[in-house]
Amino acid sequence: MGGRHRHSDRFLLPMTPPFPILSAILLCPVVGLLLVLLTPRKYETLIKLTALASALGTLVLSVVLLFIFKPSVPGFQLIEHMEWIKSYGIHYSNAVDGLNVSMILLTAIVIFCGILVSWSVTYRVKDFFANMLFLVSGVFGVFMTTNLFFFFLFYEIAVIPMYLLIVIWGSTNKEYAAMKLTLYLLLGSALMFAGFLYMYSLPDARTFDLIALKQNVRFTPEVQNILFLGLFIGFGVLAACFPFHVWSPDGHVAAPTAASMLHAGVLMKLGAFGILRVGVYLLPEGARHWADWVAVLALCNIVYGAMVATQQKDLKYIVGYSSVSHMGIVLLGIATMTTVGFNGAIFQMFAHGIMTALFFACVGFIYDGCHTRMLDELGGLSKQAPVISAFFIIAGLCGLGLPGMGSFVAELLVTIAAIGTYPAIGIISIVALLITAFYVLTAIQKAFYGPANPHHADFKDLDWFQFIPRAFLVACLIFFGIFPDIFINWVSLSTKTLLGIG
Amino acid sequence: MTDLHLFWVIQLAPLLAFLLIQVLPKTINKVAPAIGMAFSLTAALASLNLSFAHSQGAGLPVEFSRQWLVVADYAVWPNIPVPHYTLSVGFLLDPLNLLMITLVTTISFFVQLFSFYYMNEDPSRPRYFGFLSFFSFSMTGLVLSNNLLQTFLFWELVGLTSYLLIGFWFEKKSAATAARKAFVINRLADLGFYLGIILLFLLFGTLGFATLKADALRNVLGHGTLTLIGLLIFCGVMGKSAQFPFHVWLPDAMEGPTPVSALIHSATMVAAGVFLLARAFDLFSASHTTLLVILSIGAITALMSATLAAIQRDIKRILAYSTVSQLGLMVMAIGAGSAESGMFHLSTHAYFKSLLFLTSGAFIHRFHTNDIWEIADRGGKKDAVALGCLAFGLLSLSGVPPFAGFFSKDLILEVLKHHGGIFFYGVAVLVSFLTAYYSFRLFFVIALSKIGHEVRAHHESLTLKISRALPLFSLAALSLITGFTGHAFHLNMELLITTVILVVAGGALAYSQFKDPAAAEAALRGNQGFIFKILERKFFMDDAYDFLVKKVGLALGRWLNAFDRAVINSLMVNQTSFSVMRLGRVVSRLQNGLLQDYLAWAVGIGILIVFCFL
Amino acid sequence: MSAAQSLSSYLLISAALFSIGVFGLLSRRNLVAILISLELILNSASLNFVAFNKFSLVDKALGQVFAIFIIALAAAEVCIGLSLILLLHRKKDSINVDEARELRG
Repeated sequence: MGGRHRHSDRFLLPMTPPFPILSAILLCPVVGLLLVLLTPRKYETLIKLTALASALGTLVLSVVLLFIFKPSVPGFQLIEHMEWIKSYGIHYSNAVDGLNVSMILLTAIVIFCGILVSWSVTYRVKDFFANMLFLVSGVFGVFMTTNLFFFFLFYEIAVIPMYLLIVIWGSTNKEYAAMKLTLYLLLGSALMFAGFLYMYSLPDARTFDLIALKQNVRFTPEVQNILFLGLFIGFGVLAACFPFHVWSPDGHVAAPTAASMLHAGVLMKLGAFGILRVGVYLLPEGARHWADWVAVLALCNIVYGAMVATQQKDLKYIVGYSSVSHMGIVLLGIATMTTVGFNGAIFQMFAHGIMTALFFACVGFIYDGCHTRMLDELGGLSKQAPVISAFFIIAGLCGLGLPGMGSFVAELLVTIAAIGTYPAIGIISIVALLITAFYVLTAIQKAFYGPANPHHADFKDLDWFQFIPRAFLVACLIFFGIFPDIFINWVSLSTKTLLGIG
Repeated sequence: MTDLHLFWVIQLAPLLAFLLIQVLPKTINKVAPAIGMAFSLTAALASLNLSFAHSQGAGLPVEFSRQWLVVADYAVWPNIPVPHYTLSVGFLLDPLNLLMITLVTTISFFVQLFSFYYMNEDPSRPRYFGFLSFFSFSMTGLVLSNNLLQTFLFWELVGLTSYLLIGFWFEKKSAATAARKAFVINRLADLGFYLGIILLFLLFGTLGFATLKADALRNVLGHGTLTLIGLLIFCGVMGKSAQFPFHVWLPDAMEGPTPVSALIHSATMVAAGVFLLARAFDLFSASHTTLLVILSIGAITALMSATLAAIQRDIKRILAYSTVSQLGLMVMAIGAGSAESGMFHLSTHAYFKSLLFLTSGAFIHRFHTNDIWEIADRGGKKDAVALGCLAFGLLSLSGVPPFAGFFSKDLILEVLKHHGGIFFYGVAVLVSFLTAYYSFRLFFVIALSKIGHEVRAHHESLTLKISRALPLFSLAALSLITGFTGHAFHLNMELLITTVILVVAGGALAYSQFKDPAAAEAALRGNQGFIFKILERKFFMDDAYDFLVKKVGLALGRWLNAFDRAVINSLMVNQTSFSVMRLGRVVSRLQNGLLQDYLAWAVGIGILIVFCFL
Repeated sequence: MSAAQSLSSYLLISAALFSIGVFGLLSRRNLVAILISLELILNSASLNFVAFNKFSLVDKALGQVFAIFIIALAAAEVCIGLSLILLLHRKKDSINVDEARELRG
């Protein structure tokens, strides 16, 4: 087996690098969380600064990680391994490869901007930032762990604070949406955990370690087909795959700004990441077997999500359904089972994460100022708030795939791969670009153009402090749109390894 | 300076202007026009420098290219000439885009200069000049690009700036709607372009213009595939150059400020489609079917919009339809196999049409109306500078010798006569006749009307006067002399006579109808004829799009939204959770708090167990 | 062996006691009566133990030990039951079992 040979290099590397940077990234928000919990409730600014400092810490460390990370080394690197429950194969072990290095960066960027954006939170400040940091620790854990047990554990850690964030600080039918989101995500994780347990129970397995599973267990085609289906549904729920997508728009709408940013920017990516990390990595035959169906579902996501978005009246619902549509592009990239498609899918995860974070950061600001998100009640905002409108328009242009932005390259790669593999599906998926242009421009026209609405005459534009996170997101989008080779260079070797090429 | 340095100057100067204008604080944004003009002058001078250095085509083509993105290092599609797929970025300079880059940078300088006059009182001036500079950046990027994908990238960016500038006065609902219409229709057309690029990339493996040669293409691809790719890419051209059936956005785009119409919607951006036809000519000429389709689309567009131009009252709409019609002529020329004649007409047209638009801007700014009868009524003919320049532009447009339009149109007629067949030649002759007709109509209405409510000119400062007159005079001069610079310049007596007859006939017809403009207007209002109705509804093209969007597209969206809410959300999701809750409610009824009911259940079930198992 | 000495007659009496107990348990609303019915059931069980002890020849003492256990258990149970009933009476002023249904779903 090629796989057996490739992964033996893990043992050539030192088990723990000189400085455990991955654990450091994971611990940054955890330490921040503890410090926030220890700070008395009345020192609100101190709490915010602590949270910001820990987010900045993760951001800096993630950038450092990018420089330490060697894209030319195949397989996992910077492995940190600590035995925990040996007899069940449950270990605390982290590693990076091309798949998760960009996701860690994405999470760090989004949480950094999310904390800056939530500076205006006034209700139960301490609890809010504690929840945010708790949530993001879970997300980091999912992205960097190589043990399926911890994968599940960290995932659950990410879900619970999301429920609290929506129920306590949310808006618009929040109890319903929070419960729906939580039940959906738990449904997904239940399927996922059932899959993990099944893998554990296979002969030769008796471990939750991803690498050991890949090396020791020979999954027969039948097992692969069943397992991949289960895992795909489990992860597909997270990735808002059609027809399990309705939790996502409702959840986005109800969540407070920063939670929406994390939710759409990062949480939805966990699903797609899981499909690649666990599904395709362990069960390549199963993935090939179901690829056609995945492609069809992805096409549904792309076109259906965009069509439904044309009918929405609430800015957040529009963004929510556009996320459904864009996650379809990720799924389509995965369904092609080619390196081009995988590179495009991961790039799209990254670009879409930043783009929706920007979207929600803008919509949240508008909602705070105007107390409405309905298109018909807004209007002419460009006149009094040109800066926030410009940011929204940039996010919208990125959403409709304007060249020069990150998501254009991602969509281009996915479309190339899709037309190469499934010509009909690839060609139909392009139509979504037109529909997206239509609804994005309609939303812009209704909310920002036209005569100004006198109700919002006292709506104030961004100040410099609120300008920073949004400008940072825009800078990321444009940077990776102009220099996509930097990004593709990180991932391309890992996607090849994933497919067993090269 | 080397060529590469000059390229960077041309490419980046407008971008720098855009960024500077964005970064500058609000308090000193009065300098925005100065920044825009200074940087566009720099770019214009740099491109003039380039064109003098290579005036005889010496040392051309020059290409700089570097790798941008490795898509795959294996063949995504089997049987492909290259082992791996790489996208690159770079500059390419040959006589074709040397001509284009000079044209773009000079016209954008003149338009920025004129905008200083036109936008003098507008409070959002910095935004305007910023966008204008950003447009110049995108347009130069489009022209200098060395491969199709980079062209597409800037192609979308010019579309974006066009969107932003059409919707510049976004408080007006019509402007916002027109902007969206322009973008969405261009997007629709660009889907074809995008798909064509991807197919070409998959099947041919490279997108560089230098490698897209007809023989190489024919070696690799079959006739059907070539036709398909050619037509898909031509789709993008149809959108940008407003060819039938995607032409509907251009007349609406006149909602933008008039200098923008002059720069973007007549001289440069809409010509980008024609430029692309010439740029990737081998891609289209590799299949004769593609060329035939191009020829037919051009003919339909030219004829249709020439008739529409003949009934408009809005000066900008007349010019807009005239632009569509002239673009149709250029497309016809290229469809007939002569990229040179198309490009020649493109360059002369760019100068005289931007002159005409700026002139109309001069009228509109002074008289605050777009309607030609009202302009005349408020004293249009007293504005000697504008009227003179209008006459210049119109003479060139209708092809009167020795104005520039005459030479280029003559060349197109000649090409069509020899290569296009008698039918398409006839169409072109008809279009020329109609062009002369609507040109003279426009002129006669303004020049022959009686002045009713005269609007006196405001007192304008000398700077404003200069910034009004200088671009007009310069462009007028250019539209006179560019005709003599044509590559294949020779006089064909037969065509000369034909043209002159056409112009005279068109002029005479216009004179007979509009020698008394007031009476003509009354007649126009009273006209309820069938053909007039069709023309007024613009051949029902807008209605057709309306139907497609509202009755098909949005209806489907409504249906899917209802499906999403009713079936997926209510039936599948909520009903699942409700039935769990309902089940819980039923089961909870068992626990009614009555001790003896519990006992009765226990006893009953105990007895049941006893009887079942014993 | 006479009829009076046969096992079945003891069992019949025990069954009758049990049935009366169950009937009382289900039909009476007075909690004290329910407690008494419960005692009848327990007594039927201890009667069974003693009867089986007499007629089966395993270990002479075992059944009687169980019977004594049951008596002790019943006493404890009555203690707790009566004190609960007393509390209920203080709270509700009634010892009707239907009144005490706070724990319904």
